[in-house]
Amino acid sequence: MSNCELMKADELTRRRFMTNAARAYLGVTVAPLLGAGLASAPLGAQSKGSGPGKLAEHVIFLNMSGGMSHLDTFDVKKNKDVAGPVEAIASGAEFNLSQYLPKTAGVAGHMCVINSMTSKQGAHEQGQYLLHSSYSPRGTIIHPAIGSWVVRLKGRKNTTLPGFVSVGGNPKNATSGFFGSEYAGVPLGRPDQGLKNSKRANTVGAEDLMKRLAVADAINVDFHEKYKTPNIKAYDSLYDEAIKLMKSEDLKAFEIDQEPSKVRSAYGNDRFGQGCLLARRLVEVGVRFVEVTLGGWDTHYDNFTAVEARAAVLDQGFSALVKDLEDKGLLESTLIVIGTEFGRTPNIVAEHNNGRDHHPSCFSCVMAGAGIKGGTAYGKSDRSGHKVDTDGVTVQDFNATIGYALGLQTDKVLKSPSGRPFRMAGADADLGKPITSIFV
Amino acid sequence: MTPAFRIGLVGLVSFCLAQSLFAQASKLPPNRDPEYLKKAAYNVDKFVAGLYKSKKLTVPAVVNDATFLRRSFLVSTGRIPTLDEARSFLEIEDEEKRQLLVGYLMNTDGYRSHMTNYMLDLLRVQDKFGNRNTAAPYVEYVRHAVEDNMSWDKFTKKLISAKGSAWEDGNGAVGYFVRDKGMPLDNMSNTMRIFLGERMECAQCHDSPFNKWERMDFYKLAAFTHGQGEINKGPWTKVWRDVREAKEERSDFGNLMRWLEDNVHYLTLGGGGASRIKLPSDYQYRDGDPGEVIAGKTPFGPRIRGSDRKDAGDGREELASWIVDDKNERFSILIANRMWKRIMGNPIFDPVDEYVEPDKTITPGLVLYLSTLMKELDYDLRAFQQVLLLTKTFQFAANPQAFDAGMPQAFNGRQLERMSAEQIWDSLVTLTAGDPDKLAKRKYSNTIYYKNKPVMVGKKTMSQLSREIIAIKSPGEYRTYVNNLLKEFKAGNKGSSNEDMMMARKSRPGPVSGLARASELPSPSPVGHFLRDFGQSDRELIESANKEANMAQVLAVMNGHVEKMVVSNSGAAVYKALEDGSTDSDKVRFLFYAILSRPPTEREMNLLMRDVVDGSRGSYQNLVSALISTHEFIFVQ
Repeated sequence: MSNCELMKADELTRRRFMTNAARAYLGVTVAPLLGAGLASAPLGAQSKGSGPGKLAEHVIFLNMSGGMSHLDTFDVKKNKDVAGPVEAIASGAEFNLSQYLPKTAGVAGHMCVINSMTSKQGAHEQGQYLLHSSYSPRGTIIHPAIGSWVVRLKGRKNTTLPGFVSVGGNPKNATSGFFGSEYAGVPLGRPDQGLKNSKRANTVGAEDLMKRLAVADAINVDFHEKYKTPNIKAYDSLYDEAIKLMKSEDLKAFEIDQEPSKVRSAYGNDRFGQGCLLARRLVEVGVRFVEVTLGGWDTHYDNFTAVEARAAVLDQGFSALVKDLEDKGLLESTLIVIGTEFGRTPNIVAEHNNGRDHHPSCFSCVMAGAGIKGGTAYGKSDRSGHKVDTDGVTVQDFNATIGYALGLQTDKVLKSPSGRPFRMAGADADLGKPITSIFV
Repeated sequence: MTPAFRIGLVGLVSFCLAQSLFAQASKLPPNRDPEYLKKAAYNVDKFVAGLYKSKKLTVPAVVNDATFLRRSFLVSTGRIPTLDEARSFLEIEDEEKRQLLVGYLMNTDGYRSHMTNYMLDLLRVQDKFGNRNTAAPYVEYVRHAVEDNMSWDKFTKKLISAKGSAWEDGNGAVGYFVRDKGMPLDNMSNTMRIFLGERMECAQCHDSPFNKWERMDFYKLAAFTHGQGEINKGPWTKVWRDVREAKEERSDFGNLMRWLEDNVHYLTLGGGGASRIKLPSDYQYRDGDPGEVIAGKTPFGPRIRGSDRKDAGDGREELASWIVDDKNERFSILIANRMWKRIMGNPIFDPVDEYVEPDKTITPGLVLYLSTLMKELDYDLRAFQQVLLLTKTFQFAANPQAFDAGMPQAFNGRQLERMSAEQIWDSLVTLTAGDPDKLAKRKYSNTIYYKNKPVMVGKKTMSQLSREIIAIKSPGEYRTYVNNLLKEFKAGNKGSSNEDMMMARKSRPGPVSGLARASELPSPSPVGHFLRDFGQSDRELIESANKEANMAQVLAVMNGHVEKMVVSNSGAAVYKALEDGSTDSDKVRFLFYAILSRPPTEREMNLLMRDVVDGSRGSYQNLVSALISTHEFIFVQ
């Protein structure tokens, strides 16, 4: 298509073509399409002195999906009726660890274990939703994920790559809700596949690809005129982002096969471990928030066999991640979080082959790395791990603490398009307060 | 125009005529009587018109033929029309062609495929129970129920009351509980949500602060399904203990034992429902003590009670009858609302699975009518959806504005929505292969496959094996049986007839691995598959698919599947448009038909002819890629 010819087309088409030509040839967006610009300027950085002494730059959120048994991982009890066959091992820290986490004991000096997590959501969907958004699900709004909040409030560090990447999890947990798709997590199914399709196919030339986008835009004109809904705009801004990404120098960060095999095997030869490695590579090039999911914690049936297997994967991936970040000098700028939607019952259900059921009223989560006082425990559960004994931490508090580590103003109100107010730390009634005492 | 499609349409006219004549003569039941369906559609429209009038709302315009065509195909068969289908419909002049199209579509295999996806999402059906146990008989049961258009009440009843082995003919329904082995309480919460629109998951652990349910209500319900277990697993357990003690888990005998556990025992369901249950050890309210045995009791609708003194044995049967009882109006209203959402885009009450009493909905008259209609149609979901497709309401134009999230949306005009992952995939398959219903289908077989090879073909089936295994009474007998079985398995298929072997090879069970409709692929598709990137449900939670935009999708369109499967594939069906058209402008027009189901506008044609299409293959590839990349392609108007 010659530009000259296209000049004759109607004005709107021509303008769109120009935008496209610019974005494809020059790698920049001349004018934001439909007002969907990329906000990389921080919106909610906290005023000086109100975050911890040294602020985190990135977050790696390890999501234990299904409800990780606190009793068999980070809060092992002496009472055999509760602990079953599980025994605690020495970690040299204020907390005990289960025998299933021997390697984690080696990095305990960087961790703070919170044994007083508490939630009212005892079903997976609602629990995961709360963990990822600080809100309960509602029929009338989709709340942005914590990763989206972080990108929105902190801004991007690397402006050619997405600010939020989610590896192996449910794409719902990476939603940007009403923020718009530029804040959404990019879901990666498998870490070894990297960011699929991020290179131009060899069946199409660079110029043809540009033409195609220009033609699509020209045909979109009428549709855009007719429908002005946000879900359409979402795709527009994504095309801009995609072009920028394809040209990014840092794209190779997604390729974990560039790592020496020794490093790869240190993380464990499984998706979670390799996802942790990918997270380190992404953090290295300035991706703000990386989530890696490890599923399979819903151990109603045969709890101990299943937890042992899950914990082995977590143990390998997590300990390797902490060590690797430390070696690379990134640990002090990276907050690592182990989160889950709820714990499991102290009661062992014999007729389900020693299963454990959902238990939201008391469970455990972990924070490690950036600014965290290592080797410490925060909060206590009661003797059987049934209820919180001291210093209860709600899921909203937990998320507010992530924000605090980054120096974000977690109670800053951002409004949905219909004017409803929302905060990273949750709704007014249960607004989360950061646990500041776990920071150095 | 394809002869087949035209014959389809014309054939349907005569079929309908014949049916209505027949109907007059012999009185067809409502769900099979075209006249009844038409009248019902008219009745629905009357309620909707009344609503618009009383609320003083502007009635949306009716869409043009092209939009109707694309919408109907996507909603009823889950894919876009082919070039021939689009041309046939758009070029034919017939006042009744919209009604005819609906009748045609609802009787194609495409309806079955699309509806299957819906059921798999709703019931969270996965190819495997747990990590390693095949769920094939359950998947097959659900697929078959859709294919047979089994009535919703019968299907529901069967899912909740079935017992025995899933391998027995027509008994795959036991998979509904086997799927949730070890978590019967979650299963109960899901049952209430799926069939009756009550959210009780909070009440599993505490009195719900958000709605009326107390923990006691929940346990009284859970009592009806209590006491499930595998059938006669004792002998296996004892033999397995010996195997472990002798450290023979990895011997041939040990491997077969494990295989029997995974593939036979795991798929059995005993215990018809005790109708009584123990309160949990953390029961915290005054109306009961931890460990106290309580009798089952239904919380609303017709009252059913169990006894706290003895196990009933048929609690699930009782529960199932209660759920589908005509007096329990939630059942019919909930499924009507679900089907309304499926066809119209928005449910009448939202969320679709939180029951609202008719009086509290925006249109009580319509809700009650739909409930009655559902019953009169004998819970025939295809007929019910056909009625909705025949309404004028279905033909209303989409609302061009973004909705205010707080407003009731049901009658605000259709909301513009992205296609589901399955709709996009199936549409791309259509562009690649033409009518995708002619492609390979998932297969099911009762043949025994051991270590991926068929064994004892023609001599023993999974149902027979299962029946024999669960009839064994003692560990000694079990050990002998397994030893003999091992010998038989090792012998392979000695003595099996050639014919049987041919059949076994041809019908290797399982999902399709190549190009096929989403419904024929693994459930769910593996992580990283195109379908998952576009939001296919992982089938862990009820209807958990999503339609949100993300970067992976845009990259898949620009550089991935769309390019590889369709654009650069010279054999792709979409390029038939180039053969059908003799001039460049015809070719452009046909590509528009094939991809966007409409002719190009004058502006588009001028622009394309002037700046894009130069007659070369490359220029057409660019056009195909561009058309698939448009918003119009992936959004349902």
